[in-house]
Amino acid sequence: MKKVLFVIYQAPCGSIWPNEGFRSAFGMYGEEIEPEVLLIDQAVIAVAQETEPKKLGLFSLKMVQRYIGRYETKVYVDKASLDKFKVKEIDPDYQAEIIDHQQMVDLVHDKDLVIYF
Amino acid sequence: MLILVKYGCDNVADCHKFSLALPGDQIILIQNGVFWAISDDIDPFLKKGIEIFAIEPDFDARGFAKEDAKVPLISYNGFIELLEKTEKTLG
Repeated sequence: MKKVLFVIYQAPCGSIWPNEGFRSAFGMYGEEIEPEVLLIDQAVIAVAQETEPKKLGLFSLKMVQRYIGRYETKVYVDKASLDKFKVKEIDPDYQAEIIDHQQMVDLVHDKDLVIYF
Repeated sequence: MLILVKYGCDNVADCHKFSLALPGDQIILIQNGVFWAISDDIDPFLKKGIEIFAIEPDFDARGFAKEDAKVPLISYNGFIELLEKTEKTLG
């Protein structure tokens, strides 16, 4: 089983990449691949309780939560980025684990492949 | 781990890749990633013991002089050889 990490760094409002990153991760379950997702920089606002691209008429992010629950996809969020973008409350439906820089280094080096979105 | 960097020093993702590199990792500067090869921003990572290479055709194509490269320049064939030797990739 190959371990693949999808790192998403762009915001969910005005960019398709958080949705695409999650969608690509979920697509891996059909293969012999174990996907996980890491959110850094602007992408961390995706997990903020109040974030909803739908308010701007954009594609909703909430649908990814259903698949996170179904597949038990591990989601990590960078603590420094949460502080930088003043994310105070995280939507529990992402089941996200907050990690620091050293944990991020260890996480990345544990994977066979890391892909940035 | 082999780390591919294809954008310059102002790109969030590629700065993040550099920050995750450990001694023993190899970084390949490809496409606009070669801007790192002439930048002082690369110095801390060289001091850290990370092996860094730049793709020579990408470096040449941007008009840089070889003597300005702070890292060894390699061909695309050299890049493929490094890639084949590595089990883990970040790109």
